[in-house]
Amino acid sequence: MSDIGVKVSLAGVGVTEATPEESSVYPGKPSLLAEEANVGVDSYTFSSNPGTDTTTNLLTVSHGYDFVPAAVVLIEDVTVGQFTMLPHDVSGGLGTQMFVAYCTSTDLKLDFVVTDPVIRDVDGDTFNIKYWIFAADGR
Amino acid sequence: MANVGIKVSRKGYDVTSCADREVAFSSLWKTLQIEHSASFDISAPDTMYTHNLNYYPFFMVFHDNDPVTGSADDYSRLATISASSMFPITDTTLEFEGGSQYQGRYYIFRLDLETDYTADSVQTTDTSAGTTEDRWGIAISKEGQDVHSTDFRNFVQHSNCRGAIVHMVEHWSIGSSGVHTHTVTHNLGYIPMFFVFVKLAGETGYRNAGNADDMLAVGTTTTVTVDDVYEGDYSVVILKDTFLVQ
Repeated sequence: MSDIGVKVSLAGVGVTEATPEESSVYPGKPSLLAEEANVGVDSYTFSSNPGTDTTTNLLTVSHGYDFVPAAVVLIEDVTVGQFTMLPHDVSGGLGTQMFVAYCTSTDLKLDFVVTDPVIRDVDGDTFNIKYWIFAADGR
Repeated sequence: MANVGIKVSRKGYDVTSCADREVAFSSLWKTLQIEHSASFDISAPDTMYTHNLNYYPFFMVFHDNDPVTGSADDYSRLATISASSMFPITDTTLEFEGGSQYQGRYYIFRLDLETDYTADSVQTTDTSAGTTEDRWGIAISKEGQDVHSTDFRNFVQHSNCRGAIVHMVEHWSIGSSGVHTHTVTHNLGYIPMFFVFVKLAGETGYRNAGNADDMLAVGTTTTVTVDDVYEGDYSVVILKDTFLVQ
C-alpha cells in the first residue's frame, strides 16, 4: 500500500486501523466516479412494434471522452413492472428482442434489436432509463 | 449519527443541507472502491485475476462482443447473465468460462456481496443545485497523478463527480426450487439504482444477474423485490442514487 494519500474511515472506526471496507476514501483504492453530465435519465415509448431484423435506437448520449468508457444502464419495463440491468432479452430466450447498451469512443447508445421471431408486441410500451457513464475505461 | 467526520457535497449543493444522494462522499457511507482493474483479451477458460479477498466482491466486467451477433467490435458493454454470463467471481478469483474470444476490462470492488450492510439515512429530501465556481470543491488525485488534471480517471475522489455511495447490501439464499419472493426494505423515499447478483446452486461464483430468465426485480420508493425460482445465493446492492431523477 502506498504511504501517501487521503484516508477517511467510516464513522466509529479508527482511521489508523480502518480497512478499505471500513473507509469511504482509502489510499490506492479510487472510487468509481461519474461526471454529473454523464449521469442521466430518459424515457422511451414505442410508437409501433419494430419488425424483424430492425434496430431501434432509444438513446444516444455523447460522453465527451477520447476513450471508450465503462457504463451501466438500468431500465424499467413499465408494462411488465420489471427492472433490469442491460443487456436484456425480453423474449425470454424464445427469439431475440434485446435491449443492448454500449459505449463507443464518442457515445453511449441504447438500442432495441429484433431478429427473429417477434415474440412481444412493444407498441405503446414505455421504458424508463437511468444511465451512468463512468470516468473510467471500458476496455 | 456521529457528529464528527467528513462530508463533501457534489458540485453546486450546499453541504450543510443537501440530500444524501447529493453528497460526493461522506465518512458515514461506503463507496464503491476499486480494488483492481485491468484489461483482458481471453478466449479459453481461465482465471482472469486472483483477488484473494476471501469474500465474494462486487464486480463488473465490460467486453466487446455484441450479444446479438456474437461479433467483436470496438465498443464496451456490461456483462450480465442475460447475454454474457461467463464471467463469475468467486471468493478468491474472477473466472472466464470460455465460449468465444472477449476483449474488455474488469473492475473488482472492496464490497462484500454476502455481508449485509445498511447505511444511515440523514437527509432523503432533494435540494436544488446552485451555481458554483469551479474553484470550490475537493480533488484527491491518484498517486503520481497531477491533482490539476482534467482527466477524471486520474482521481480517487472529485467533487465534480458523483461516486457510487452504497446504501445497502442484502444477501439471501434460496434452498428449494419454486417461486420465491425476497423483499429488501431500503426506505430511501425514491426508487434507487440497484444491482442484483446471483450464485446458482452448484456454482462457485456470482454473476451480475441483470435480469435472468424467470427473475423479476422491482424497485419502489421503499423496497426492492426479487422473485426467482432457482436455488442459490442472491445479493442486492442498492446505491444512494435515484432511478428516475438525474
